[in-house]
Amino acid sequence: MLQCPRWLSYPVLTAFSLIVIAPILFLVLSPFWHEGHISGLYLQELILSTRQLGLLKTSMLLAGTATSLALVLGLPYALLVERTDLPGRSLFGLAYIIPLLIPPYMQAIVWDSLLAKGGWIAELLPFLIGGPFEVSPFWAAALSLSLAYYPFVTLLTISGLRGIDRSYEDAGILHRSPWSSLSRITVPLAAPHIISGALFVFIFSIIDFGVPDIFRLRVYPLEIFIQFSGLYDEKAAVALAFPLLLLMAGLVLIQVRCMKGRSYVGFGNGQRKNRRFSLGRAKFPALAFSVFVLCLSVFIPVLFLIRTTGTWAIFMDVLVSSWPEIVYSFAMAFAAALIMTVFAFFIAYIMERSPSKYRGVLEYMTQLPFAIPAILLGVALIKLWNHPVTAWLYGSSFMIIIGYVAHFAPFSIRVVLSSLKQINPHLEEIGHLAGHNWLRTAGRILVPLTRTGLLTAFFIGFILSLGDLGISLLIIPPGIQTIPIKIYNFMHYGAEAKVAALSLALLGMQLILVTGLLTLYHKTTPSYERP
Amino acid sequence: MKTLINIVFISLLLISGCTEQNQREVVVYTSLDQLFSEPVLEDFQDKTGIKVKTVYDVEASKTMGLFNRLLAEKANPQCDVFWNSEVGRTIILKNEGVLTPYVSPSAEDIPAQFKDVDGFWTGFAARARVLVYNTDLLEESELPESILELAEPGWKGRVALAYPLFGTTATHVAALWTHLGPYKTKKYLKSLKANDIIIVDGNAVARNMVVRGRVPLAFTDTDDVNVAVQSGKPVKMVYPDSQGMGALFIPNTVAMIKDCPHQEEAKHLIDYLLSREVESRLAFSESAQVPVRDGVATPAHVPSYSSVKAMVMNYEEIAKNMKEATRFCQELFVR
Repeated sequence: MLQCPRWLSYPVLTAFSLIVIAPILFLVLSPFWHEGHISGLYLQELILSTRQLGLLKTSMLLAGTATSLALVLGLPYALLVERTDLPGRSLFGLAYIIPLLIPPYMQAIVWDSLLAKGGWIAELLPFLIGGPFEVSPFWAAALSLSLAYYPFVTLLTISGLRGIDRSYEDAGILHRSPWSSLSRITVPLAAPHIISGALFVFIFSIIDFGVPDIFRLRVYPLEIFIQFSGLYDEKAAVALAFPLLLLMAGLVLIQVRCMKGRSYVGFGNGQRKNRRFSLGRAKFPALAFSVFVLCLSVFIPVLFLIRTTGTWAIFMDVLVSSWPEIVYSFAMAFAAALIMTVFAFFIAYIMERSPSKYRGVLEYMTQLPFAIPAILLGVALIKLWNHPVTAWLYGSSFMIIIGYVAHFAPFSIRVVLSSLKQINPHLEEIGHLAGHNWLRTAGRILVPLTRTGLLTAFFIGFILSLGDLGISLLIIPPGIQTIPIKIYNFMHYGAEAKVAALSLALLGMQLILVTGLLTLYHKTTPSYERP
Repeated sequence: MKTLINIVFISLLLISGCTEQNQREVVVYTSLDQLFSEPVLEDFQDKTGIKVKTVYDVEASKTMGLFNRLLAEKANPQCDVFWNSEVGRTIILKNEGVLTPYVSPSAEDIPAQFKDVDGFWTGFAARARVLVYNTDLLEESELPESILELAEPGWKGRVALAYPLFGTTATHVAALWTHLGPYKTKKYLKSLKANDIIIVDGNAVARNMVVRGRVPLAFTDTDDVNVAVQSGKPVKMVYPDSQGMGALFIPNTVAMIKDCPHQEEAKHLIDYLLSREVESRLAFSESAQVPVRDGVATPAHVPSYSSVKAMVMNYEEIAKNMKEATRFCQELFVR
């Protein structure tokens, strides 16, 4: 099996350790260092009270429910768009991205207004059901989170489905019905991607307290935030994050066990058009399902935003006055996403092709950062980078890029890793036998074959960076603002119209970027390969 | 691809902030809303030629982002002036060794209760903790005279309060802790909890619940109510306990950071912020801040500090009680 040359892998691993791993290690070890000595003082925070255990249970249930709902919505949607003759599939294939471009708290505000007493849905439901009906805070929060994050499942599943070798499905269909082939062959082959998508939903649902808070549901991350912001005890806050780290370690273990010994490799990667199954009589129910998903996740929030914005004049006013912040935020997110994607490619490759004992360590090192709340990571970044030697870096916008890479690179790595699992290592060996060095082999074989994954990783890195508040707030250079900071400022003094207008403007611009990326994808994909 | 990389790097170099070498500048972190603080800081820049570089905080971080940033940057300070929209955390920063004393000549006529005895911080332009009510749902005659009445059965499930763990609400609880004593405060908070008080995410959310008629009454700050009143929402405010302990006033505070990079410029900015001109300007803004000294020009809807019954407080005592009060509220309300 070919491996990344040392002159390349060592510098990449060093840079990754410095930017991503060092702040995490610094944080995780900080509770054990008190007043210049090794100390177990903060370990007492790990003895959770009954109240804290209750909150942790609520968080786990909420994240589990939101992830299950996201799978119910996102997985069939991806299969319908990518593997069937669903009418209007190109439109459906673009529209599902929109919820990712609307900040989750905006979606939560929309659903809170609709589900609360006097809200449109709260009034309609008893009429439809024929009796009193009230959506509990738990279910409202779970619904809101699943509608905000199910596109991760769809996006990654589509990315996975595009990398599947068609000959497996062709072989399956000789013996079984198309639906049986889809469920027994296609879906399992896309499992790494589906699991990654579900993992993303789980992480975002368990780490966020903003959305549950809007529905007045108390969750465990609030405890960490109170310790940090209410009691300004950063070490105790980190100690309280340990149960989430343990949970993440458990998830990595389950993931590794589930995928152990299985191969997702394709032998004819992307050489032929993917198979599309005819829906037949199921066409209309499938269409109704897709429209229903989009109604809940796209039409209702977007209509709400348009209605709240009010007039075109407000929209233009906000757009013009926020233009510098918009350009700055886009530039930072773009640069960070680009660096993350390059990082992700090399790190994922090193992980996938390294001996299994190192792979296990890398699996944990790249996934544990998921459990660290952004605001704590921000403090670690300040302490690591705010020194006279690195002052030139800390006071500049490069710090923002480093912050975004530190926080979101693990997500990009998961995406690219899922794609690399589908690449046959023999293809690289063939390239090597043809006399190419590793870089040329990677450029000619690996990059083209993983381009869907790389574009997906770039896109995810970009939108996560663009929407970040926790990191930006702590390390933004003086005199500069990002769009989320501006939106939150508008929110405080009740400028709902401006918040909605800015969200719509951002949504529009990100859609333009997505369309650009898709065009790039189509232009770089030979026509015989295009699904 | 090469062109793309070049564009990205050139943009980054431009963005990385190549400022004019000789221009004087001052770095200020402020937790007062950008809408209100930005025009004041721009005026200072225009008048003095000193470039102001600002970092704003947001409600989502419970205006604690900058507080934590200042603590984390203590070893190598980047900020010159901290303009806090409240007082409790400024005192904590003083105790943590983040601040340095500076007695501004502009603060001479500011009453002593709004100044640190050692000059570490100075208060100006205060907000008050008030009750906001929906005029479509409540008559003036139905309003409570004291916040203590809100624990009575008539208000069950009809009152909203921001998390008493952050921001001005935490300061308010710590003030009650100091004024009424821990026993009475705990009893009062437990009664509020038993009376199904609705705990929400921030003062702006509490106000919005009243604006939308989801509850008739809520605890909030004067600036939050005034923004809603100015935009024509059916709400008004009442200063509670005018016959009893009085309403809590929470001043803005300004302080210089220890070992800050631009000390002279920082002093200029502090002098300007503590001027009567700025207090008046903040009173005329939508935030309707109450000047802490008499004789400052204000609009009709902003009362003078001496015309309202104010809770007489030692802010150092409030800061001392903050952690204990916060821990109690965490146990009581976060479950």
